[in-house]
Amino acid sequence: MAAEGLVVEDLVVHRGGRLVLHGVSLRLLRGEVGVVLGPNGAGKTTLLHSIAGVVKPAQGRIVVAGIVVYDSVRGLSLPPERRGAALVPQSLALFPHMTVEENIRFALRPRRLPRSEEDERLRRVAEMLGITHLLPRRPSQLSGGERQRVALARALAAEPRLLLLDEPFSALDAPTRERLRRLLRRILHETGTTALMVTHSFSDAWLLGTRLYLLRGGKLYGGASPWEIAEKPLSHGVAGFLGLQVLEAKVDDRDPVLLHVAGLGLLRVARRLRPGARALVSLRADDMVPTDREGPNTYRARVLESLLTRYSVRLLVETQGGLTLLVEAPRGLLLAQGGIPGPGDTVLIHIPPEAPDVAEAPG
Amino acid sequence: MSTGRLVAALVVAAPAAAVAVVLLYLPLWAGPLRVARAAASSEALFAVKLSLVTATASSFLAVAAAVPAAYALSRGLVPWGRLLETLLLVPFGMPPVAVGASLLVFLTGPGRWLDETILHAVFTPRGLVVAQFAVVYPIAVRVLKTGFDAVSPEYEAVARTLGYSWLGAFTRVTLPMARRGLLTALLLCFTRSLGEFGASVMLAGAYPFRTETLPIAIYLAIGGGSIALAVSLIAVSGLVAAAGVAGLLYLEEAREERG
Repeated sequence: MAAEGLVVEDLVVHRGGRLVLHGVSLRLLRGEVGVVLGPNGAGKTTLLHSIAGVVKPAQGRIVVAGIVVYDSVRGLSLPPERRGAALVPQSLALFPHMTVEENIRFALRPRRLPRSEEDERLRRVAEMLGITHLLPRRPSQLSGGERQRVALARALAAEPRLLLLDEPFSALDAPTRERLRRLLRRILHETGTTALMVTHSFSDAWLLGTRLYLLRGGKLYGGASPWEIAEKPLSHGVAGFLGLQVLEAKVDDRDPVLLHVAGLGLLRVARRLRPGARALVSLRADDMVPTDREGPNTYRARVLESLLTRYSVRLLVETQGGLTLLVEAPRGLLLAQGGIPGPGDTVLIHIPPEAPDVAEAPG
Repeated sequence: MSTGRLVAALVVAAPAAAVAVVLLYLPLWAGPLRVARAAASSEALFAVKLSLVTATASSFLAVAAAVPAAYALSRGLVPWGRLLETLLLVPFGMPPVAVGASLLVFLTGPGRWLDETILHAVFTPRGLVVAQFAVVYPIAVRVLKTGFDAVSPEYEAVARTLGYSWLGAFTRVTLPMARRGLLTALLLCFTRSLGEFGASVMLAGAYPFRTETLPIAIYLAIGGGSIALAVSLIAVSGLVAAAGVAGLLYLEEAREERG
């Protein structure tokens, strides 16, 4: 119990007469970084505000680092200032009437530290986030990335038991975003701070999270490491949400690793299923590899669209059975095979047996 | 200069010139020397002093009383907020003389004990403060509510999670961030209190050297035929108004620069 950084049990929250969260539960160990992924309006911010104590839930239980901060059964609800959970909102809410230094000292004041220790903590946190040179400035004189670092510094200065981050990188350009992600990852790791971050960015979730949840329709799904979720999206019930392609199939009556996939044909997989059962196959766009050789698990398809992205080429293809698939391949691979195919070209697509997640269909 | 700019200059300059001509004509008409002498008279000095004291008191009281109300309305902390706000603002839309008369009738009728124990407002100098307060309080509520509306509750939320009580977050974050609204409210209430006549004359009466504020003194001087005194008082009120309005415009400009 003592090793738990955050426990949320059966949280129900109404806002403006609307049920926003119904029965949300999650569990983070100390030092873990939980990430809640969800589309806009899913209730992600409400979840953070409920944990921070800014929004009052209708029922449930919240425990921060072993301290019960909210329990509807016992009628207990600690005010935000006694929860030890520092919030970094999406807007950052840097106090415009204070300098950067005053913003950080603001978080140190309630600790009532001797002046020398307060100075030392200010210096340390400013150094950690690389903002020492910004201390005399006002928030209005900072760039987006600088503002973000100041907001993190202010929250970390309070040495919170839990850090709550709301879409921390949403307003930043790509290079700044990348730099800050690495910085935050390092800092969270070094300080051992338990953090819960909500975001709609898959990259943020995968790069920062040690435990990943998906919020949809007021409920949380997942709760495993990003790797586990990426490898077994079907068993976590999140394949469709992650934008993965979920295909229907039937297991061969005699061969437990051979599937008959609608619109594709025979697909050999690495996992044994019950012969004759109905099954689901979840495929990531990068599970499928363009190839120049015929063979097992290789399918002929016509290119409908071809799109060059930052790091790869996306091909929308249609199989001979009429199934549309999105394939993502490295540009170099396609060039090595004779060039990037365009609309109307025929390509061969190979699916390694180990790549797809397969499970027996529920019901 | 293009025609458009010329027209724009004219539509602003013409009314401004009208204000200047009317204000400057008065002392010339009454005789500058007589006006200067009247301005130094004990009655004029009394009126200026009383006006400044009562307007300062009523504007500070109104703003102090309006801060919690405006905050509660802005944050939606009270049920039936819209209805309550409407009720609070009703005196703003009423003729001040009606507000003063209502107060007089109430404080000499069912509210007599209130007047006798606490307010002592009927036909007294304190009545000036009560009357001015009644007229400017709605202005303070309105301006302050707009000021608080402009401060996102997220700032308070962050302050709370960083270890501050509600009051701590309010005094260290919300109030300083709404300070321009606060100053605007103070200045508006002050200038409006200085000019308050209708409610004051109904509740406090028009007694020379007792409840004689600037507007009441002007009224008494004109009624008594002391034109030079009236004009000197008008000139003083014009100067005070100019200072107040300049302050308001400065605040507005500063806010635009910040925003």
